[in-house]
Amino acid sequence: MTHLNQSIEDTLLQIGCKYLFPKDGDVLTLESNLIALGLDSMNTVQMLLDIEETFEITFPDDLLTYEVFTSLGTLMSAIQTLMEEKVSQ
Amino acid sequence: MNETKARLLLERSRTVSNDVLYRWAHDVDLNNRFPEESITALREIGLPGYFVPEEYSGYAGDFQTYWQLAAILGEGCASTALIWVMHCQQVLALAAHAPEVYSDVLSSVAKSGELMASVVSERNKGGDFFTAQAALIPDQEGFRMKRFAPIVSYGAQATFFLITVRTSEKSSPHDIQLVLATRQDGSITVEGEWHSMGMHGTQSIPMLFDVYVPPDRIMPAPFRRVALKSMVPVIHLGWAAVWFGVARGALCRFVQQLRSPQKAGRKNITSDLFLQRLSRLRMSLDLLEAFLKQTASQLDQYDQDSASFTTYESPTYIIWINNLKIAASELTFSLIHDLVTLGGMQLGYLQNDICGIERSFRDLRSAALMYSNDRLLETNGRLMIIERTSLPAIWNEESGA
Repeated sequence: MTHLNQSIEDTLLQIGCKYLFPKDGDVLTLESNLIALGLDSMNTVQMLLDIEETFEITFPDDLLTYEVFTSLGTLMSAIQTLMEEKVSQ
Repeated sequence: MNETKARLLLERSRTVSNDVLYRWAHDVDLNNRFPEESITALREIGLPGYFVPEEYSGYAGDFQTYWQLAAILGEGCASTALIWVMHCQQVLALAAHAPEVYSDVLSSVAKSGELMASVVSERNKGGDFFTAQAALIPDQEGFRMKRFAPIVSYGAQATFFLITVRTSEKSSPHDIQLVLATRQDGSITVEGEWHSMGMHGTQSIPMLFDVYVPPDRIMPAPFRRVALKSMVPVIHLGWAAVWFGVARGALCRFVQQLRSPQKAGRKNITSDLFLQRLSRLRMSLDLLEAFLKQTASQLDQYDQDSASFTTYESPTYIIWINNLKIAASELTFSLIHDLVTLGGMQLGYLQNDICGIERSFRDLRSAALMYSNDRLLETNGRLMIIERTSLPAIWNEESGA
């Protein structure tokens, strides 16, 4: 894993801790299912806005899907793509 | 609920509201007490069982009749009407999501008119419906629950309590269960008094619960489903209808007074300004009535169609329901505020029973504070940002949210 990717992962896990609630002492990982961790309509919006502000990106509509919001790992992939696009522009 | 049954219940409620609720509203307010006479009158026509299924001796009521009932009761006594809609919220939660589990309770509510109170408030979190601090603690075969609630409306008079609580001590504040408790389950004590600007009759007191409940008292349906499908719409529609009724009652009494031979307070009822101001009040009522009708009709349609949970999770639906509450609280208070101006010192400002405007002003001041408009506006603003995206699809039935 590159330094940049590690940094994205760490930041994303920090953001996730604010909106997700692992049960009975489970540890938050990139594989954890977001819905199972309590992601609902309210905190999804909050988390999305937080991610967009932190990484200075905007999620296009075609990335606002269940597949992208399945886990922090799938979210991280989308963030990486959007950041790469930003750099190449 | 068939049309004949609904019409009969509306007529009976109209009589009860005029003859009992309005008669006692002033005394209830003046003496800061529970409206015992009015609640007894509601029991006599079976209103506590409005949402109870027919097989358990209830009315199995619909939303269109429900809001009209709440408005009629609100015309007579804001506190009594509010108690009824808050009770209805708890009953509907049980009736719509686990009627067989709670059949004894539902039968008892319909036959004896026992009241069911909501226990949501906690220190440091206020009345946020979607979080909880206190947790269920496993104890032998069941669960122990120790919980303080700063505000429990009609808590001293209720027989049943529907309590929000965290699933376990390790659960998140969003991982909530609904638990039914009765006075036989342990210690349920009143910890203070209710001294408020208005809504005196609701007697919304602080209470301490230290109870043991068997596992079957935990609502089997997921909390979020019960909340969004039943508890949130029924309370916003009910509150809005009560406030609408309070405003309509005060305005009607004021208008009747204008043509009464013994009219109190001199009014130049032919002045252009007076007539224009008066008609603006009616416009607010008509706008709100259309909103109430449309919402009730939509909710009844969802029920008939057995709409999926996705429908109730959609941002558009949540924004609409929240807006009903916000609009009703603002329009009705603005109306009563303007009615104080029109009524002047004699009819508007003085504490008397001629039109009940002064009492309604204090009662309706609470409307924007109940599940604070600020909080709902913030929620709606947030939801608007994603409303037109495909993001809401992530909380569909398949995802199990």
